Amino acid sequence: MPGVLALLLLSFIRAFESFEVPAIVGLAGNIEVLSTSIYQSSRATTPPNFGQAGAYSVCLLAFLACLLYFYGRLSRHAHRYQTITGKGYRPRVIDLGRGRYASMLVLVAILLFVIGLPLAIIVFVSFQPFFGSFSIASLSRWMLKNYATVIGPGFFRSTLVNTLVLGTVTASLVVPFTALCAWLAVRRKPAAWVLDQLATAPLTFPSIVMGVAFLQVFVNLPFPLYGTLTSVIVASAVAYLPYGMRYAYAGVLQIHSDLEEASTASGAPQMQTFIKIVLPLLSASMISCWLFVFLLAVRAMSLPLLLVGPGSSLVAVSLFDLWQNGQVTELAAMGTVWVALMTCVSGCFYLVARRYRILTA
Amino acid sequence: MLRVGNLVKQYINEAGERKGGVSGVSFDVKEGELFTLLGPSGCGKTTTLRSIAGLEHPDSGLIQLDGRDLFDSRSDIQLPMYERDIGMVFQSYAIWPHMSVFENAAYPLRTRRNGHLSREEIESRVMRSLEMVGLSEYRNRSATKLSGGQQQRLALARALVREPKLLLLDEPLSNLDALLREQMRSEIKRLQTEWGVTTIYVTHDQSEAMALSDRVAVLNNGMIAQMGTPIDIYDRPRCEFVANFIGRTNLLRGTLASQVRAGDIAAVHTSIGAIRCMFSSSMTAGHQISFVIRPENIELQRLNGVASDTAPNSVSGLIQGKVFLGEVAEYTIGVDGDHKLIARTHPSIGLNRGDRVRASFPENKVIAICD
Ligand SMILES: Nc1ncnc2c1ncn2[C@@H]1O[C@H](COP(=O)(O)OP(=O)(O)OP(=O)(O)O)[C@@H](O)[C@H]1O
Ligand SMILES: [Mg+2]
Repeated sequence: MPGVLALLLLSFIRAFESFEVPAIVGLAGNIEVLSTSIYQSSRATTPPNFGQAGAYSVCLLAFLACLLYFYGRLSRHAHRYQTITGKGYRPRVIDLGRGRYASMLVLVAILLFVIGLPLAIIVFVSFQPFFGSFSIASLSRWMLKNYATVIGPGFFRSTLVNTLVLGTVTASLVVPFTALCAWLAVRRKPAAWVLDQLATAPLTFPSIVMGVAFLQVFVNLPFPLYGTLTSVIVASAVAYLPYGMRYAYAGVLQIHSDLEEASTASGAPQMQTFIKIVLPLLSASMISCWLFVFLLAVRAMSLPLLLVGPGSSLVAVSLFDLWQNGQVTELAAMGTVWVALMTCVSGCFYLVARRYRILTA
Repeated sequence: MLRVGNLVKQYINEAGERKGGVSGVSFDVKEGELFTLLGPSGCGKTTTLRSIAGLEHPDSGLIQLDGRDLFDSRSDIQLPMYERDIGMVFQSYAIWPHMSVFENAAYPLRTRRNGHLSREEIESRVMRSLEMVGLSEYRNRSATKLSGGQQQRLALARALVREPKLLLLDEPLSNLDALLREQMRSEIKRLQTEWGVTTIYVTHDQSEAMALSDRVAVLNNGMIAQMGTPIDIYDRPRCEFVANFIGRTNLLRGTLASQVRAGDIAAVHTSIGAIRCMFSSSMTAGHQISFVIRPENIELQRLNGVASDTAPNSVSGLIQGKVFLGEVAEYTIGVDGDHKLIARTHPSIGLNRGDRVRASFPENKVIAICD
């Protein structure tokens, strides 16, 4: 249960701080939400009005801090929810019977409509020389030039590579770190609550606020970090710590403490218990966590938007720029390639998870 | 071998009071002995065991194993568990689901810090302990694909593979069904004698404790109520709690009319009539006495007509209930209206509800307890 509630909370916070959709759909119609106002005042105006951005940021922060307080109360009695014990741990396949086909059909229909349709339009546009509505005539204008631009060497390719590096490194930093923190926190090791609070704190910062904060830090650093890919990785890793933390936390909660004590009783010191017992039992959560953080990092726009420099362009940011420049067909091609790539990544993970017969946490 | 001295470990509850846990437990366990901590739920058995294992930090007291201090509150010694050379079997078995049967059992050897073992040695020692519990043909199986009883055996093999000085078992049979429990009970006894490992066994099941133990400590409310051999505790309970907890009991109360000396046989008037028994210690007049009479020590005789004499240690009554338990039948006998006695006899006696009976009990089978 705490796993589900935690997820609910995260979804709510993410919706509240979301930037991309309001930025693309809302800005055109002059609908401003807090997150877009922050962007407007720190980037889109010249000279940037950091003071105003800061004020907006504080408002957002205060509200989210309240939500987080509830989360803390929720997970206090965490040990009641342990589910993986040393006995009877067997993943089960639930047979839904005939209802299976009906529910499958409904789900597929919904998915097709919600995801398939927009995707189809993107793919269609990506083969067109210019953006127009669908017609027979447009079919004769099929071309691959957009793809050549995207995949060929140069700006777009390095963007793709940059983004993959960003996702991989961020996720690989976040996952082991949060696994350790969550374990320390759940097992109530001395002073672990400090770690827990620190790792959860970035959750209160909407990513656009995070962006503003890191922008300030990097600009004022003595060595040149501002505008580099490293700066985006650092910021992303910090920003997504809470998400990793929540995954790992839910994962550790499921491990019955007897399993660890049995290791201690076998003569293993704490660290060995963590590596040999806790990590393997956490692997299911960690794989899904890695994928989750990876996907978050590569598709995030608001955070890198404020941090990237010319040498460190990223897909999400490039897409946003393309949109603002009206290069819709290139945007579509790049989007298509990107979606295909991400589908592959998810697919691979699914296979890995199946291989080890782990049901995602 | 193991000495536990005045162990105190109390928990703070939500209201901030010190509650639960144990408050001053002392006992010694001899080399090769199977020592049982017996008591009702919540009496502090697990707390004691976990303190010995080092999973719990006691408030005060002393724990020594083989002359070495594991814990001493006065000199502030607290040896971490992994240095204690203690094997433990958990109530939930705690078999690691991500390892095979062999890997589970080999883990304690692989983590050994003093003296690295060769591959062959690990292999042979693990196989020896797996054979001991009859799991050698499952060595490559995933540990999650074992039945409850097999997981239990694996947990035992894992605890024994390091040949620890002390083996701790926390209600190892409570998750098994009745048949398997009996089977595993004798298995544990066999393993324990074969390996000769000193063992502390925790249970709330008195029949388990009786069947297995060399010595038993009965715990109540975080304190030891009585300690001794199973027979000792059964035949000579020192307080009402122990008498009630170990086996079925008839408890009768009365007041001592005149002074008795140790070894005297005296009669005391109780609610069902005079009871004669031998007193093991001297007592002054006016003492409140409780008598313990085990149901199997009550003899039943069918009465035809009305009872005439009123000899001590013998009452007449009406059978109010009969429960057939297989090898014995348990009768509830109503005496003088609202007093009840429980008696157990061989079912072949053929008594039924409504029959009038005489219930008698020899004076050497009545135990007098004074509180
Ligand atoms: N972590 C804890 N925090 C607070 N109180 C506890 C804790 N662990 C045990 N207690 C209390 O201490 C008392 C003794 O607990 P313990 O686990 O030793 O009982 P037990 O004899 O093993 O019982 P059972 O047969 O049910 O396992 C109980 O009343 C329990 O409520
Ligand atoms: Mg217990």
